[in-house]
Amino acid sequence: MDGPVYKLEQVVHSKAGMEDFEGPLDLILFLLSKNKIEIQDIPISLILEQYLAYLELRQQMDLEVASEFVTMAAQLMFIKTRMLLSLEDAEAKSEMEQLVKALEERRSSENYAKIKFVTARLSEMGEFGRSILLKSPEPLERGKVYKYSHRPAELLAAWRQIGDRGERRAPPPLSNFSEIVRQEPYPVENKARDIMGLLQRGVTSFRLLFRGNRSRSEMVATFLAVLEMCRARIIRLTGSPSDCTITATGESLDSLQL
Amino acid sequence: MARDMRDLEAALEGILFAAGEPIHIDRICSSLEINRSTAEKLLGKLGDYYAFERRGIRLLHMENDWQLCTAPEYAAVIRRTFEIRKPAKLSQPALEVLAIVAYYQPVTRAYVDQVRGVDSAYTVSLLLDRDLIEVCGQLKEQPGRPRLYRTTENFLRSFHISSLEELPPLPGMDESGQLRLDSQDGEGGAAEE
Repeated sequence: MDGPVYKLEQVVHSKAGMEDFEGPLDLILFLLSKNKIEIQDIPISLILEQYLAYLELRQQMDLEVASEFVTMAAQLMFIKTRMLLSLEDAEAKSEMEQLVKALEERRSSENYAKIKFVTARLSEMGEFGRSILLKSPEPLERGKVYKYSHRPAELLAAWRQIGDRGERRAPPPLSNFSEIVRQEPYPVENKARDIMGLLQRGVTSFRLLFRGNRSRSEMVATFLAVLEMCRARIIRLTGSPSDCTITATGESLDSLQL
Repeated sequence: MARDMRDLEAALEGILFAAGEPIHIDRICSSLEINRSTAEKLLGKLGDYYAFERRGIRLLHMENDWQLCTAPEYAAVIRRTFEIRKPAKLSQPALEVLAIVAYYQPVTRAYVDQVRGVDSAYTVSLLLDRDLIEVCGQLKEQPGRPRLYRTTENFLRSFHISSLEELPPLPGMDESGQLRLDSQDGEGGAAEE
């Protein structure tokens, strides 16, 4: 009858990390609590053997602690025998449950004692975490803030470039133009007077205004005069782009402001 | 790539500074084109240098991640500069819950409650907020589908250990079932029931 023993060892191996068992009896009680095995499955000889082995071991130890185990084992034996005698013994079952519960509480309190003990160490170790400061990581996406470095000489070079470009691009001084501007060969005002004269002589074609103009600048002056007179509402242009007629509105030349 | 160790160490230092957050050793290896053991040796050397020369920074090692931090010795003066207060100390309940998670992880809250004998919901949520523990799964088959908790990298950093193996051992039980407390450094008796 070593079937259950085999089962237990299997479990012990797989759960070794989580639960630490004190002895085989402890383990049986634990497994009973988890409904892994039924009390009926446990051979009485196995319990007895472990019980006796425990007793033997306990003789050399602190009796107060050992007595707890002994009580439990004895109780288990008692329950087991009652169950063997009558399978439907409800009282025995509830006693079993109580026993299991007591065992679980005992294990929890043991674990709790260990935990409480170790927290003193952890509390000291935790001081480290309270005493360090960390740097946040460099942003992978650069923001708008400029973060590169330069030599001061680069600024100077940039300044020099502005100077070079400035010399090239600045507008020429007005004095350069005074010679050109001074004599206006065909003043617009004179042209306007000419146009009025032509209109009074009955000329109506826009094109005819330019007849007799000898140079490009004279033609430009004529055109400018027409535009100015139109603006001053002295003349009016009508017709199509190809056939344009010009009429006087009767306004005098005095309203022309040049 | 033939470069001498000094160059590599300096490059490492630069990478760690720019990283700020914990950087995985594989990233360091691939950018410096060195193997893992060389990288670990160099990192160890750099960390030792900071500590030995009592520099203002320290190198932290958490599992496979490395990170620079300020030296704890100068915490007070650094904090004064930036006018920040010392973070609150973990309370005893918080330490207990944290210890249970640390030693028995992954654990459910029910397990924590069972060991402590009291409800730990608030403390668990506090530790989650502080990024000392995190959810690492769910027991789908169990009623209520309880969540499983484990400790975080921040936990390792806060307790200055590089892995869970460096946690102080839980006091063992001697043959009589009593806590063996005297083996720990002079703090015996604290947990005797």
